[in-house]
Amino acid sequence: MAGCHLYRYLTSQIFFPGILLFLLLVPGGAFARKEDGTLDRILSPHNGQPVIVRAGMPFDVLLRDITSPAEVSCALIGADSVEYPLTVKSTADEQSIYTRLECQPPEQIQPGGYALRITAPDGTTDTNFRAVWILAPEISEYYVLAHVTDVHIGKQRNNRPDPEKVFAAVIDEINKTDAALCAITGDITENADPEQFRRFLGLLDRFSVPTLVCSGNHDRDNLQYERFMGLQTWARTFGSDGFLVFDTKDYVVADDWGPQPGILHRLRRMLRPCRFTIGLTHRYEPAMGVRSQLVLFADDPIDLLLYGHTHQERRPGEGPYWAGDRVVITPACVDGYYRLIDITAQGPVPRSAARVSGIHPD
Amino acid sequence: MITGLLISMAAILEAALPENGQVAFIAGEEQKKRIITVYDFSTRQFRKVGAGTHNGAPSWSPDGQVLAFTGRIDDRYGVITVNADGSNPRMADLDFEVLDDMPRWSADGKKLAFSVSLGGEPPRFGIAVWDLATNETALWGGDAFPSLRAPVWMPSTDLLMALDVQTQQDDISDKLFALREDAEKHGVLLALAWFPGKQYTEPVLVTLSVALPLLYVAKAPSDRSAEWMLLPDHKGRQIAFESDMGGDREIYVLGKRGVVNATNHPAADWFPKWSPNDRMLAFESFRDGRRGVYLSVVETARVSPVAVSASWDCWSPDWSPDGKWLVYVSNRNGKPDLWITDQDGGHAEAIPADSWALAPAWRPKGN
Repeated sequence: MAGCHLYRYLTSQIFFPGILLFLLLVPGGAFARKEDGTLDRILSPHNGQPVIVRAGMPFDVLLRDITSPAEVSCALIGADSVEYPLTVKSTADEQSIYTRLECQPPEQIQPGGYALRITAPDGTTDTNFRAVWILAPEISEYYVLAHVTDVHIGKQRNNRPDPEKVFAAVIDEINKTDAALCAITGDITENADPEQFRRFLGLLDRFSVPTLVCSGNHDRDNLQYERFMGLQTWARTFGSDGFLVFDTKDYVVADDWGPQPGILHRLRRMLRPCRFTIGLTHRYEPAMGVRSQLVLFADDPIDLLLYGHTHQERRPGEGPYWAGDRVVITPACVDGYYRLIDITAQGPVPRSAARVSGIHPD
Repeated sequence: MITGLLISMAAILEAALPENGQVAFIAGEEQKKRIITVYDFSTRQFRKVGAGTHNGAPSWSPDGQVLAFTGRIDDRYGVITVNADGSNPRMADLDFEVLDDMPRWSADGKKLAFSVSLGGEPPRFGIAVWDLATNETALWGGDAFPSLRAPVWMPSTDLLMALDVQTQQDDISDKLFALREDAEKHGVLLALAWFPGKQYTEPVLVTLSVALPLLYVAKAPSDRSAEWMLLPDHKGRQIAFESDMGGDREIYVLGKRGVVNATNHPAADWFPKWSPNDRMLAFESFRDGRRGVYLSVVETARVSPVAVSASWDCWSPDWSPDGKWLVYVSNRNGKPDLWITDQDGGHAEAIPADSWALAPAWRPKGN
């Protein structure tokens, strides 16, 4: 199967179990994120918002607290601790509080997952694990996308397995499949406690494939999600397909007045040349912002929207008003569920939700 | 000499802000902490005037004395009004879930129209009208359409009266007659009809018991596209609206010349706002890459930039009552702040607040 081919190609060099070795080999002086798990100078990419590119193809790095962008150096670090210096072009805007660098990996770098390390002009470093994934030069039209949602790390449940154990089991199951990447659509924590974020991030690096993470309503309190995961609205490409990740905010308040609708429009336009565009969010309800719905489902319709929140399969008619059948809701990971979706030349084809066995009493 | 130059520059900058007037806006980044706040140009001070939490976009009453917005007080989410100084908070008593669309004032300031959810799968929406004098709320529009949403009052019935009942088809003619009669008694709304499973909306005229397709009545056939942001001018003689009928989102104006494209460009154009003299529309466009604020002279469709940058976004424009100034939101300094500029966009000045500032609405002068 072509998906197996892609998966093997992606994983043949460095992936699981190499990733565990990779974590052990990173020099002790360089911290992944800050010591408390929050993002440091590299806002993007990171293990929840990785870039997935072919060797030699440039990608953007978003930094903060950088005074001299031209003096920043960047490198990818492989599982074997070998550093691959990146060609860096500063696209910094002097009036912006952020620094955007265009980085280009070498042509000869092997496919697989890499840490991204930046060295600031003052010699300090920041490293994000599993931040950059180099794709094989040839990508099949077919691959498998895994969907996980509602992890709820920290949730207390009588006579039910610990959400961390369930998440670990789900990850192990997905790692055994053909999945080439995994979307995790929010409620990664029970109540946005920093320790819950740290425990989630600790497990996230157990995945052997790139992981695209978005926020859920349980993750947004006192801007904790922003501290640990950064941007809430962003886009990535995987081969010829686009992924548009966004937040659907508080359930009673649409966000038609904030920056998100404009960002969504620009990202949607950017992804227009893609074969398929898949939206990832946590929830969608009728009361939510019409502007975003126009952008995603009327003016330039996306091909599939994945979300969770309800902990159940989709009911008839459920979802954005104009989305029609292009919606998949996957039951909760905290209950052991995940879903595989075949991305075929004809379009995304969701499989039935799967459930890890032997971990739930029922 | 340098000192003198600096003083002159400071004087120019000082003069760049209006000397009086007020702008209401949503203050706060986290939605559950958002609260309506008013900025006063004469004192250069902010004052929180909202009530409860989760405050949505503010809407001034025509006399500038009362603000309306959606929000939550205790466990109830609904439409709230407060006086301009924040006193006398009131919430509409409703059996329906209120949607976050901005509540809209009638021209006499006695009624508020807003969107509600009527439940169901797929969801149905409706239009509720709150009579502030009697405190009664009623659903408008009858049952001609499965869903109605985003109401805005027509300031007058001029446009309705201009329609020739005799030239309409019989069934439309009867309904139009009934609608006119209803409109004379209770007022008339513009709104959007939504249809389950269909990717379009339909602009409609709505009264207490009747709803009719606007474009059909005005003899411009609908292209079955997704319209949004219907906005009549201040006299009710032209209607601006967004539509993707040409493939990308544009702003059209329905008026005496029929339906004209006021912003024609392959990039998306949205969020029209009439100037006080009804000759121009401020709007948002992506024609220069990022989200920016532009003006269109409606008569000629000539478009000019007002607040545009390759490095940041500008959005949510609103006019000062004298038409000299525009307030808008920009993340130029890293977070959404209010900015003020003149009509030419020649000089922009920030009004930095501690938190995010969204959905600015300039206080009308009143009568």
